[in-house]
Amino acid sequence: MGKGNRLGEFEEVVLLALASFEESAYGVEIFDAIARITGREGSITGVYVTLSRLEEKGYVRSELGRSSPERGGRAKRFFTLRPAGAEALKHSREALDALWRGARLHPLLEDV
Amino acid sequence: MSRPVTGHPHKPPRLAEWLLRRRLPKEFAEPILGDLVERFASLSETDPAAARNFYWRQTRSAFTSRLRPTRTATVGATGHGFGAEHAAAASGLDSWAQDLRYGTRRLIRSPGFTLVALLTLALGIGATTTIFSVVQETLLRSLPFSDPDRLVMVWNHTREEPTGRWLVTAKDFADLDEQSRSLEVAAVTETVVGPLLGAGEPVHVKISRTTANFFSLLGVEPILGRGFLPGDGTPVIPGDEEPPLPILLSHGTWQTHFGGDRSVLGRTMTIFGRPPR
Repeated sequence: MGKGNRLGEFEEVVLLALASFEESAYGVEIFDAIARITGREGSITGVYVTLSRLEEKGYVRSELGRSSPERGGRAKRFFTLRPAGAEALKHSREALDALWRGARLHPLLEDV
Repeated sequence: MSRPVTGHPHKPPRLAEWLLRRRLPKEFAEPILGDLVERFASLSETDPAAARNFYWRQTRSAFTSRLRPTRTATVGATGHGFGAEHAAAASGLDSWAQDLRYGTRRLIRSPGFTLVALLTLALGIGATTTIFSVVQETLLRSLPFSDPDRLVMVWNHTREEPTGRWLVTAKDFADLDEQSRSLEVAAVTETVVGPLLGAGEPVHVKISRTTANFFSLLGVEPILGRGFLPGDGTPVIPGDEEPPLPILLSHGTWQTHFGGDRSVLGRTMTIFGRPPR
């Protein structure tokens, strides 16, 4: 995976949140999953911008659902993790593991 | 769903909704607004205030989020996100907001530098304001006289010191007044500092002696009493003792040393211990 394919920090969080769903998920569900992962409320706009970027990279796929009165007549947009996105997550995890394996750790980090 | 006392269902803040519709590109707006309405409705059932706060927090974050996704060449990439067709049309507000956030973060991380910068700005602004105030009062503001651009001050100088400023003698003034074709009217004034006694303790003030036409030349009238007249100081009956000359108090002296008392009008005062002549 080249440098341009490396996941940004928030991209990784969003992909991980999406990966927690077996099938597709829409905005609010992904937003709540991110809040569970990070422990704080994020920006729903930031989530959608990142999802758009991930779709551009080919890591997710989106499609528009049906509108509903509970949403003021607005449709949900559903997102699904693509194989390339799963690969990107795996690579990111492996890169981090390799980093830790290769590092000589301070005594304070002996238990990690 | 709980309803407020008025009986109407809770709705998202209309201003926030209006701002979001204008901020977000269409492909983002529809799903985001729908999500926010859905979450707002859910929160409103138990805590309408929390629901409103949530909606406003998300509105604010929409303005600080960078809306344009960065383009990256990736194998298997679709090349476009669902909002990408608006990427090129993203407003300059995005980069402006990004620069502002970056600059703010840098300043917060360097409190010492930020403090020095703020102090320097404060000093600079203070000094500039002071200088401008002085320049405005002394150079820019027009004189509070009639036709100020036609007023000139005439000084004497010597050949040895052509840039010097010397007082005009009484004879020189008389010649100037009589012979000059450039001056329409001339008046003379001489200023010293001395004691003025009108009531109570003597007060030290600037005292100017002028020709009778001084104030009429400037086009100013006193707010109390009269100005000088050509016959002032001349006895009504020739040969009689000369009457004292009138004194015109400045507004500042009247307020400061006489308390703005209108009964000062007509009072006899002395300058340098004797009536003014």
